[in-house]
Amino acid sequence: MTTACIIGASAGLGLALARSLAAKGYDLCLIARDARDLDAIANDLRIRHRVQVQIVAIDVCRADPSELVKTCCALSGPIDHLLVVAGISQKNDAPGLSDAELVSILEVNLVAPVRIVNAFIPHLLSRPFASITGAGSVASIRARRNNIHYATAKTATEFYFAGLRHAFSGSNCWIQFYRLGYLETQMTFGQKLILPAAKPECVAEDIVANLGIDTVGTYLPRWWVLPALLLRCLPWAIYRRLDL
Amino acid sequence: MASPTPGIMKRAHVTRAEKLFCSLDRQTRSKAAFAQPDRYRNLFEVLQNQQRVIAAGAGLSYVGASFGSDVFSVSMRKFDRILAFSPDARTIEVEAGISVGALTGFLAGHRLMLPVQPGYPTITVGGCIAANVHGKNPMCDGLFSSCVTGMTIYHPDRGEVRCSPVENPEIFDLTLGGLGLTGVILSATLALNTLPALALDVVTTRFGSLREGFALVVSESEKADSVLGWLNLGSRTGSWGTGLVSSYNFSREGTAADIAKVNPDAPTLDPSASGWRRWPLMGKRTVPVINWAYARGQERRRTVPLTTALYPSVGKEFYYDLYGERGFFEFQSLVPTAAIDCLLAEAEPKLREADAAIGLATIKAFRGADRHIDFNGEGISFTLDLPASAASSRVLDYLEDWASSNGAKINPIKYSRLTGAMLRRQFPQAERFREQLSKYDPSRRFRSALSERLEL
Repeated sequence: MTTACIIGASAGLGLALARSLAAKGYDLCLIARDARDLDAIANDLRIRHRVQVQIVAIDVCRADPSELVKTCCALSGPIDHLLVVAGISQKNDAPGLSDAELVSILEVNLVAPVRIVNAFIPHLLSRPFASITGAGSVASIRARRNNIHYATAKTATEFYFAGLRHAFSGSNCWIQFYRLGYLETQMTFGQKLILPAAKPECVAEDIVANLGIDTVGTYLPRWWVLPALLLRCLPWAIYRRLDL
Repeated sequence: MASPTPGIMKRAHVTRAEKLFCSLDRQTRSKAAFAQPDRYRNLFEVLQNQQRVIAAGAGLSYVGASFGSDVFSVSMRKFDRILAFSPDARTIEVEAGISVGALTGFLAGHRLMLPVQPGYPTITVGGCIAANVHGKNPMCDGLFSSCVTGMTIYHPDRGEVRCSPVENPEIFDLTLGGLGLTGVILSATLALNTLPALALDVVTTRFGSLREGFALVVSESEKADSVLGWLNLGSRTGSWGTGLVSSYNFSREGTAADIAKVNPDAPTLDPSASGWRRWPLMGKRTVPVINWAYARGQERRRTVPLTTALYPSVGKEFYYDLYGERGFFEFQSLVPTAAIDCLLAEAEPKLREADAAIGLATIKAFRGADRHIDFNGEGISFTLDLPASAASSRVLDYLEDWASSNGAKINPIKYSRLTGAMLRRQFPQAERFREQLSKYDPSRRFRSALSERLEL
């Protein structure tokens, strides 16, 4: 039986991935801070799809990554797919952000994902077929004043995944990293967005369908490639005046 | 450009927004703050920080039950998980935000079903409990409360409370049909029925007068799984007062292929949605044509998929827009059996002469007991949809008086003109219900446009 481990599984894209994977028969190990939500999700997936679902309620920023790997494997058995989609952002993320908020953004979006992936790598390489999936953001398209620290963390994480792709090219471990557009999550709830938000379920379907390929920097939904191209092509004289 | 964050682990507060809410009949509108928490800690945080709050499900209430002026609306749609399921005991525990359509889609695979369901699949279990809705054959199946065996409720001042007929029975009783005023329903345990088939045979019988229709709907309700009477009250000709009674029975010919027709995918009925103009097309000239076409289109015998029988409004969402931006009133009254003769003698001539366009008129048979402000009792529910207009107001003024004078009840969760005074006059236990709510929650944190209008 194939087992997937999702970091950040209690809501949003993580929850959608859990549902999509369970519907395809994957056993799951779900990791997030919220024990109660994880319990409810696990029960739901077991009942609906008759798959094995284990949960680990932990703050990934405070977790010892190697202990986390041991815990997951002890609960679920060998892990074949690791999906790291936990993340946070701050509305006031601009130069001058408080140190505590800055550390929090960097920890959740960069440090914790890299540490966890790094701890899982020996285990995943021992599997006959494995994958590591990371979630980036369209905030990485072009640097700007808003979300500066969030974009920095996501871009650095993307760089790390690109390195993994190079390192494991030709191995049994596939690397995926997506630049995600607006999703209908708490993050975008009630906001007036300049482009439509996608349903996490649709994005999750695409990610699960791609578990067997290497890809870094792919936009989901895919149409985001056009706005990204436009944004990148804007002359600096214009771009600097935009309040994005 | 905001930065989307997948699987976001928010350490700050849950996101809030402002929205112009509108009831399904378009008579109640409020701009109010709302949130759609997706984790329990966020839900509790929102509730603890609000002094006037109400839970929201699908947002399809006719009368503004899930929002209000200066009331914080908390959507429960993200809490839609199945927590426990016992096919042998025929029970299921679900979070309150799960829709009846999604639940039916799951249960159909196990040949089980909810015994009582409202007519649209996106309506949530929490909404069904709060409104104690009726289903397709209230005479035999009762109200939604008949299948609720337990609940977990959250109130910021009381915390989480588990209640059932034996555990905190007074809270359980107050919450069934309590319009969401006792707190947020987190989860519910429901008793299920066996699903005999995935399709239903429909036999449609025509009748020539209201009296004949009333008798037919009662006799059919005794033996059929689901019954609905349709009345032609929009005609200007001799067909006024004629109609159809459709009796649904689970088909013996339903096949496994029919399961594909149990489609829980939610259609998009959203009265609060904006962006297009609703033109009023339901008038004295159009209603007769619509009624004629409807009556002509009904086959005597046919077989329909389960979902078509359960959710007749699916695919007909445009109906609610036909009344235009001004909307309509759904006058649904439960006429006691003893008052039927009086209705036919006094009210029928008034309705026949009325200048208003009666867009839709239906009847159903009921049998049940008085409890709180439940729309229940022994008699026939007589439902009229009228466009919001001066002519309709004159008809409704008369019908309200007639109902109050003849022991009829007007459904509080359907009719936007129902006042606190009318409620107290028509529902003998309304005042006691209000007193119990105040005793349970002296601060009365949970409020809505509906509870304010009904002076609860």
